[in-house]
Amino acid sequence: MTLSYVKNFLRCVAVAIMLAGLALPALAQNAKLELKNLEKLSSKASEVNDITLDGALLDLARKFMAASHDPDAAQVGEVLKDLKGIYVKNFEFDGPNQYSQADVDAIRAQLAAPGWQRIVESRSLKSKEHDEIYIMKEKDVITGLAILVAEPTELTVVNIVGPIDINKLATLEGHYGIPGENSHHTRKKDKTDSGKPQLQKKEAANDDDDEN
Amino acid sequence: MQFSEDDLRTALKPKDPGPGFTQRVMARVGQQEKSAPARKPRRAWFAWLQPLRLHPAMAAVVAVLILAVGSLIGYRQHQERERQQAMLAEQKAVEALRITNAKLNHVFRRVRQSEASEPKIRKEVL
Repeated sequence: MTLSYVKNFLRCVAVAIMLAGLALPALAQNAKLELKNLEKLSSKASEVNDITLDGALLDLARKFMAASHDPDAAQVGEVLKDLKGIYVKNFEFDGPNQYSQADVDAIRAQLAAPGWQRIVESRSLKSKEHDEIYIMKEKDVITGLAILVAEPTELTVVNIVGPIDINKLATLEGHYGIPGENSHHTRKKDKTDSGKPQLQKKEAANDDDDEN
Repeated sequence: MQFSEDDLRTALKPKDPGPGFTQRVMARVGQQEKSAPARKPRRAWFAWLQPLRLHPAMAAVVAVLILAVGSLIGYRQHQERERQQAMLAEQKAVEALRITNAKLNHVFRRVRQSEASEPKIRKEVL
């Protein structure tokens, strides 16, 4: 009687341990975002950059860069060293309202999950732009990065999975075709950005006139 | 049934085929050649292998050489395919990092601009 009771108890414990083991991976924080809902935007966009780099392909890129004698390639290889995946979805549209708020909210909902923390947010009602940077940290190491830039005519989601050093990423500027602050890609944005302060100044001047 | 020697002699006695026998035979041969297609020798394509059958050692060397050259070509093709995939992966990685970097800069610049411009506006309005 007692023996069968002990046997049943041990069996229950074993089953519980097995179930806990199965549930652990699901509970573990995963920095990979589900971006499939954005794929439908490809047909509407005038320019699409859709990059999925993980697993064997990322290993291959690392090996190729490591074998290269180019110091710039070695630097890029250093950034990629421990990464598990890079996922980029960038859509440029000819006009506004080509993507819905629900498309962006689906990504934001994933970033609201435990583990993610928003480190930067910039929201502009005038330019209808909402930019956010999220990180996932384990102890003091960044294990995931997500950049969400929602502009009226452009939507960008960057998701980097694995330990990433943002300082190392910054050192790549101006090397290997990666733009620096004054490069063409950022200059295009500067045109729109530079308009903002001027507009604000103008408004301020108008306010002054009104007051006078 | 038994045959006597005379029976055999009679049976095996040469008979005259008659006049024009040669012409008839030659005419029939000509007809058969016309109706039947010319047959190619069946084993002509590997006739060059005949010497190898006589020299097994040479055959083994040729087989090893064929295998070695085949393997080398296969390995080179595999290497080339892998190199192309690696180049593509590298391009993708650089493009991904380029976009990441540009967007990080963009967001930080936006934040800096809003921090810099807001107090100024308030000051001017006041």
